[in-house]
Amino acid sequence: MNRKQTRIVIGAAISAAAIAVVVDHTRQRLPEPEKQLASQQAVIIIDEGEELPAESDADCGKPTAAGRQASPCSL
Amino acid sequence: MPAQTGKAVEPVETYWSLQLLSLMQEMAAESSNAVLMLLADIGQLETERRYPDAGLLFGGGHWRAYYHCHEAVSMHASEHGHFHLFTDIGDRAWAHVAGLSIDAEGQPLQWFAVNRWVTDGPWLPCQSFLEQLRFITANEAANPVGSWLGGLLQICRGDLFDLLSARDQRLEQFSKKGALAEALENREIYLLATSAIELQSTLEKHLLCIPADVLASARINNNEHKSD
Repeated sequence: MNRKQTRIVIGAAISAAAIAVVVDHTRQRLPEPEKQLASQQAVIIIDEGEELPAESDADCGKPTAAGRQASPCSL
Repeated sequence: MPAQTGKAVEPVETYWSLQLLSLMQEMAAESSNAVLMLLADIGQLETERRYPDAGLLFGGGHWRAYYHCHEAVSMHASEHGHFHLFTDIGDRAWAHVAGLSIDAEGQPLQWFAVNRWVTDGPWLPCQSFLEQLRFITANEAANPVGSWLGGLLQICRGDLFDLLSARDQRLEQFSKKGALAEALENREIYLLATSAIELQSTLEKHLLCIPADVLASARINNNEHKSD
C-alpha cells in the first residue's frame, strides 16, 4: 500500500463522486479466455527407449492427478 | 467476533474501505484492476488454467488465491472468471473460504460458497473465517492483488460470515439424517450459497458521512499500521 496516497485519501473530503470515479477507472476490459490449448495433465514425456503407456501394464485409464480431476477447483 | 451485517458501520470497515479505496486509486491511475494486474505477464488466458498456478499468497502467507475461467461452468451470468480463496488453518491444511466472481471489466460480482468436493481440503467453520482475518494487514505494499483481495475480504467480513452460515444451513437441508460427510461429497450438490457485492455502494456506506470519532479511530489505526 502506498502510504502517501493513503494519507491523501484520509485527508481529502471523500464524496460519492470521488468513489464513483475511482471505481469507474478500474473498469478495464479483461482478455477473452481461450479454450485450454494443452492440459499439463495430458502431457506425457516419453524418454528414448521407454515403453509407451499403452504398452505397459499400468492402468492408463486412471488420471494421473486424480485428486484434481475429482475436485475441479482445489489448490 | 460477531457478524456485522445490518449494523452500524464499524471502525474496522471504515479503515479497510479507506485502504481499499487508496489501492484502487493506484490501479485507476494505471487504468488497471486486480485481475489485469494478475494476468499482466501471461501470453494467452486459457480456460481451466490457474493464475498463478501455485496460487497467490497474501495475508502474511496465511491466505492463498488463484483466478481461473471455466469453459462450461459459470457461477454468475456476467462472470468472466473467479478467484478461489483459501486460508491456512494449520498443519499445512488449506481450507476454501469462498469464490469471488469477477465480471468482464474486472469488477467483483459476488461471493459464492461451493460444496467441499469442489475445492477439496478441510471444511472451514464460520467462526474460523473471522479469526483468519487477523492475518490480513495493510503491510503488503508489494502485493497489490493480494492487498485488493484482503481488502475485499475485510470490508465484506459480515457478508462473508453470513454466506458461510447460509452455506452450512443449506448443507444441513441435504443431510437431515446426519449424513453430513455424504452430503459434502455429493456430486449433485455444487453451489451452496451466493452473496452479491455492490462495491461502490459498500464503499459509500463505509466512507461517507463518517462520524468524527470513527474517522479519528481510522486515522489512529492507520498510524499504528504505519509504525509497524
